[in-house]
Order: sequence, then C-alpha cells, then structure tokens
Amino acid sequence: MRTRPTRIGTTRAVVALAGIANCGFAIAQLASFPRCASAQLPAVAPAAEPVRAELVADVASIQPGKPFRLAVRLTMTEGWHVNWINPGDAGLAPSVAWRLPDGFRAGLIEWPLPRRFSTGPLVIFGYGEDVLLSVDVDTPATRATGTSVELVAEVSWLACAEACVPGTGRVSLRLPVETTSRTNPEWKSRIDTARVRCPIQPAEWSVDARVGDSSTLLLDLQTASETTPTLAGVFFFPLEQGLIENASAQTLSAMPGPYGRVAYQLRVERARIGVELPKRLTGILVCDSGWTAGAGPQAMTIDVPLGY
Amino acid sequence: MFRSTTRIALLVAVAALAAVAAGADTSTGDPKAATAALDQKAPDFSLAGIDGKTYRLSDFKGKYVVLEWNNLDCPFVKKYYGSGTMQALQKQYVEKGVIWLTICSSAAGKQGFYDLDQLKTMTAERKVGSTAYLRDVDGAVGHAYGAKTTPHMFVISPEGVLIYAGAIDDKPSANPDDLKGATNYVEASLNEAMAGKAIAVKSTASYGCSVKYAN
Repeated sequence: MRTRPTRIGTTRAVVALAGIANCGFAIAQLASFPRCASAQLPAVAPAAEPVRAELVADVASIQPGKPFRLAVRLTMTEGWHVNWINPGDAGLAPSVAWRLPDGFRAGLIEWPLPRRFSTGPLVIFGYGEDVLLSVDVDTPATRATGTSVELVAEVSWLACAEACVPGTGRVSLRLPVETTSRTNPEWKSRIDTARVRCPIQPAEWSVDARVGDSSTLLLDLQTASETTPTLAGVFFFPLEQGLIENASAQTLSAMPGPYGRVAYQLRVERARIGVELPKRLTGILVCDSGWTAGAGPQAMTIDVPLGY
Repeated sequence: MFRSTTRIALLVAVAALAAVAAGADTSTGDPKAATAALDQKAPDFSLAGIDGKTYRLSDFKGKYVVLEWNNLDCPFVKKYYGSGTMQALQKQYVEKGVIWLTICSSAAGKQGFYDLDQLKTMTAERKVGSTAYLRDVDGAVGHAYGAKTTPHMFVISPEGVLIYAGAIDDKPSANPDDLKGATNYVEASLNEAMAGKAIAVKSTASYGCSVKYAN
C-alpha cells in the first residue's frame, strides 16, 4: 500500500533530520537539580499553567561574535506532558519561533530523548516534569558592548493530562553585551546535562533497516566490537508519526553474527493503517543498557535507507 | 460430575462462539475480532445514536459513509465546530447522500462522555449536521478502527471498503486560523471517489487529542 505522508510528518522529519546531523538529541535528566536561585530567574510566561515556559541561557552576558546556548524550558505541572517531535498516537510537538535581534541566528532545536506515556491503549511520546529545548545562537561580531539585547521566543505547545490544553507563551531574556562573556553556571550545567546524552553514532555498530512484511519493520544491528554488550530496553522512536504501532512491544532477538560475534534484530510493528513507507528510516534507537557496556542509557541516531 | 463439567464447558464454548460472532458485527464482542485495514471491508458495527435509533454500518451499503471520532471538549474538535467548519462539511455531504456518523468513544467519566440528554442539548447547540451522533462507551468500535485521536476520520465506499483513514486535514494544529488554506482529506477523498478518480491520499497520521478510552 502506497500512501502519502502528512505534510507535517514530512516537514518535521526534515527539520529533525537536520537536527540529528547536528547531534540533535539529548536525554533530559534535570529533575534532580535544585531550582534556580530567584535572582537568576529569567522571564516567565504569564498564566502558562499547566505548562510554564521560560527562556534560559548558558551565559549571563553575551560577547560579540561568540556563540552561546539558548533554551526554552517547559516545566509541566505534575501529571501533564508535552510531546516529542513525533507525538506518538496523539498530540502535537511544541513549536518555537525565535525573535532575535539583527545578526543573531538560532540553530536547530536539540530535542531531548522522549519518554513513553500510556493512556488507555494509546502511547504518547513526550516529556513530563521539565524539558530544555536548546539551540546554539550565533552572535554578530559588530554588536556594541555596554548595551543589552532582548531575546524572545514565541512558544506553543499542547499540554495533555487526561484532557489536552493548547498553550502559548512569549518568553524573553535580556542579556548585557560585554567584551568577555560571563557564564551562567546554573543554566550552563543544566543545559550541558541535557545535552550530555546526544544520540551518538557509535563507530562499532552498524544498523540496516528493511521492511519485514506487511506488518513489520526490521532493524538489523551488528557490532564490530570483540565484546558485544548485552542489550536491554531497546526501542525505536521514528521521527515520522503514523509509521509504527506505538503501543506495540518491539522485540529484540540475538543471533549469531559474522566472525563469531552476536548480531541483533529488532522487530517493530508497522502501523496497521499507516503513512507511506519512507525511502529512509529516520529516528532514534534507544538502549537503556547503553550501546557500549556500562554506558547507561544511550540513543543512537538512525538515518538509513529502508530496504524492501 | 463429568457430565456437568462437560456441560459447563459446552456452555462456555457456545457462549464464546456467540461472543465471537457478535464481535464480528457489533460493539459488544472482542474488539480484536475485526480490525480496519485500508482497501479492505470496513468492520461492521452497530451503535445506538443519541436519537434513540440503532445505526448499523452494513445497513448503509450503497452509500458513502464517513466516521468522525469526536469528543466535544477536545480543543482540536472545538477548532472545527467553533468555526462551523465541521458542520458545513457534514451538511455538504449529507445533502449528497453521504451517511456521516459522529462517534464518541469516551469511556464513562472521561472527557467528552455525557449522558444522552446532555449530548442532545450539546449537539443541538452546536448544530451538529451529521446523520447521527453515536456513543461507543466501551470503545469497541474505536478499537476496531484503531481510532486514536479526536478528530480521526474514516471514509467508507458504497461497497463497504475503507478508502480513507487518518487526519481531517494537513495542518495539524488546534488553532482555528490554520483552517484557512488547509487541505481537507475527507473532502478530497470523497470528491475523488465520487468522481471515479483514484484517491491521492488514502491514509495519513491523524492529529488531535487522544481518544479517551477506559484505562
């Protein structure tokens, strides 16, 4: 069956793909961090419950010509979540429109690794607690010091608990321009932590993807490593919505690979009524036990031709 | 002892068979008994409308049927009803002889679940223009069709074949401003099918609130 994907699916995939090439994902492990000192609290969007949006940066001042890291932070009231790029069975990904001064340029958003939320028989990909959607910002070398700049983002999201509520926020952050930039240690630490587990492209692993049959996609994993780690908790999150049965278990099986090594195959159930199969399979392959032994949860970027 | 056990087993077997048979064409059986697939015969079902009548898909053979998953409190549904867009679409196709069934699979106590009187009032207030508003409280029909969101749209041919499944349009958003310039997939697929043309977009990823099934 050949059908056309939705426009948004394609658009998102393209945007996110570029993000992957740029190390586009990181795991958010922010819940354990202390709250920001009140003196450093940035502008907060008014009346943004059940989601609060704010704009934060890893610097306390901007140096002309020196890039810095800017992030939209979404903090969810307990029980609420927002979506990943591919929202899963329902929902919508948050969107950010940057309103930056002349000469400032924001890169692509790095989307942290999502969680899976069950709601009845449906599964949603997204974030609870809080999430930092961060970008690199290039600054103009000609910007005069001794001034300040206002950075603005117009953010929209869909917050869901049992019910869904769309929200928007215009968040801003004013930073001084100085000859040498000063770090904001609090937010630098949190932004760095959020980025620390960007999807990797581990040299020792190779992944091939193909259509198994009318109901399955197969991801074949091989390692060049002499010692194959035991993989646990492997799940493929496609970038495109409507490609897989999000609620179905994905099964990993080990089999003899070349040179006496172990190879793996992940079986992913295709959506029973899905979008047209893409020419390339894109997404992230998460392994809770890590792609190298003892590494802890890691995500691998998947962007491979989809064989038929 | 043996006889009574056998008899119970037989009764159980008969009951199970009856359930399977029922599951094939009503909302009371195993929801997995029949699942919708594109270009295949759409699973039959029968549901009570808030008008007190019973609506069975197979009774509408020879007509196009649109299934619209609904939860009147979902922002994506409000986008379509608040602007009058859904009602206009319903009216346009019902006048052409299309059977348009609006289905709510919200479980009891979940968002969008209302008693019959409330639904009668609410659908009248909103001037809902579908053929009928049906409740699928146990979610069996929703499960059979794989309805995930509100709205989630399905178009069935006069031969009873599922010819479109997915989003209502190509602009996933809860903002009514995004209705302008959106391609409506239900409109497109019905118009193409009625003109004897191939349907260009037969399935898409639907967008909206999750259907409020029981947990």
